[in-house]
Amino acid sequence: MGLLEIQSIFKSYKTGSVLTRYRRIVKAVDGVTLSLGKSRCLGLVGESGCGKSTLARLVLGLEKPDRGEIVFRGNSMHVVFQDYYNSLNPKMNILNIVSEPIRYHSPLPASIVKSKTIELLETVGLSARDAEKYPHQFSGGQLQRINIARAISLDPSLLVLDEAVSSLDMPIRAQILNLLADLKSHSQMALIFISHDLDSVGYLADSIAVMYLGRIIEYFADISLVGNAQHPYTNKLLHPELGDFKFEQAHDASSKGCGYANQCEWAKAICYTKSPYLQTSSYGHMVACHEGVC
Amino acid sequence: MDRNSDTIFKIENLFVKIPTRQGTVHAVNGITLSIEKGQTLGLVGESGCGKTVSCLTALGLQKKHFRVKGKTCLNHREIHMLTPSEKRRVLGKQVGFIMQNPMQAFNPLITIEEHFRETIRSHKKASLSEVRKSANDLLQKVGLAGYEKILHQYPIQLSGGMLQRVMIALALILKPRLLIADEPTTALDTTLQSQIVKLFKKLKKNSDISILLISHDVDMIASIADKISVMYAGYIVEQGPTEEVISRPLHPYTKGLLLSRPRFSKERLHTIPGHPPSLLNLADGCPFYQRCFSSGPLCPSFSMDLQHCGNGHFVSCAYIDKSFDKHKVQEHGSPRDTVNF
Repeated sequence: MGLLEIQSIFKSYKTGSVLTRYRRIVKAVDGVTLSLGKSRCLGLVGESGCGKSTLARLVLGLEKPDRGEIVFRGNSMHVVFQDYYNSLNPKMNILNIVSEPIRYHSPLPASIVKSKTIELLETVGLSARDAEKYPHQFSGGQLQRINIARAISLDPSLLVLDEAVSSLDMPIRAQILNLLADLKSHSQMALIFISHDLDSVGYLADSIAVMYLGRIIEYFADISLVGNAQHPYTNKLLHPELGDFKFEQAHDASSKGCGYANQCEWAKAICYTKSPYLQTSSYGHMVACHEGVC
Repeated sequence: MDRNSDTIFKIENLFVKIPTRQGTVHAVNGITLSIEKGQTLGLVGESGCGKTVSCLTALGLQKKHFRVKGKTCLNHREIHMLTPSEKRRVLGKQVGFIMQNPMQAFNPLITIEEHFRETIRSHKKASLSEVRKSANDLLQKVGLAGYEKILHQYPIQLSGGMLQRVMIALALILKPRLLIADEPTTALDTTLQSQIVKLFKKLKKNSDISILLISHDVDMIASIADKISVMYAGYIVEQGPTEEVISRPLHPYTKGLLLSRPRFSKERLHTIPGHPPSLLNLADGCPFYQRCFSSGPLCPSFSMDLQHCGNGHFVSCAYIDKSFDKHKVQEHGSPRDTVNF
């Protein structure tokens, strides 16, 4: 029994307004099944618009799935978003920001809340002096640390990191990645780490799911299996320097077949008519490709 | 002067100070750069280190209240001496500029074709068919062949990767001698990034355009540039041929920058402690010494002059340490080929 079980969930959005002709349905998440065990880290990789963030929002309960179900067996979950500045209320000081979940969920005396908050700030590498400051007094990396401190304040069993390091500079990104790696090893927290940067995912994740147009196209239960990636899209992500100069084409939701077929160099006739299912290729490795599995 | 005859663009001892209510921001503290014909210079640094300010100021595009000292020459003509109309004529034609955010650089109310028309016609007379022809030629060059309908579309109808290519095409349409690309891949996905990198490489190979490439991504810069300048807190701390700087970094900041890249392995990342200093009322001396692992008593009063260390490699550090743990910085190939855990 895993901590989180996602059973074939679907979520689609209607775009455009009622008044325009260009009204279409975008299948943001198109039948995703995933599970995540305790104190594991799942890396979710894919280009922007592939449904990574929608999947995260579905897990967090910020969106309702059209179909399918999500079972969560932990006590709580929290999230860290990419936009570290807008995630913090500029009118609150750091003490109030970080302690807000504690104050809301467990009525404790103010002194205990304060000492707990300072402990949290120290965990993420800030000091007690910072508690009285306001968000505008910090740099981006520090703000992301504050977001992380708030996210772990209730000791959640699942932490969702939605592009949490993507907008940080390299040396600061390394600091935050090390902090997350420490948190993962010292607590029982499970992580969902969403990023389009494969190198960061490779550093943190235990298992990796590659998403393309709302579907999981390849899943590695263990990161050591990434070496035998089979899906052409995964290979393109892993080795972007290879491959030719092909251009992305807007995917039509109504089209049949594999979403990647238009760009795939190995596409066969079947790829345009039948969409491949995620099938086990070897132990702990699943791939959705007509070419790879056959 | 003979040696410099090929120099297209030169920044000499540029200082930019920005007065604010809280004090003076020392955005650029005496940088010197030069780009020769056909050369690509990569300017690396963290956000807020003065990369963008220095190149905007070098072109005379700074805000009015900036206090600027120094000299910039484009083709041996000093840019700050030009009148606004001359500047428009000279810079508009000879310098192509690519912005970080492709979505915001276009006028949402006019079609792509009108963007091309506006750019061309403000510098020379051209008929509509000529504009179309040259626009199509360039779109083909940037990998948008067979997308003729783009010209009649509005920016909002194109994806980020396409817009970035259209912007590169727009920047190249007047055949500039210098192309300045300010974080051209930052707003894009990994796969699109590699496409843009390929495009730059192709451009470099097929023409003798000089490129100033600004980015915080060392990997991207290293794969394109001939020369690298590493910037920190408004200073250039290290400068040299790409190979030299990447394989034998001398400044502790460059070493930290190279070691802090995640490499798809579980090996713990090296980090630079602390965070970049505020440029507000920046003190004299080396701005990096409080984060530096090899600092000494000379650092707080160090003049930050670049010293030559052979092979065209310059560094500004009071304690130059030539040893560098090469095993930690892997070779520049793809480390994912040999995934070790």
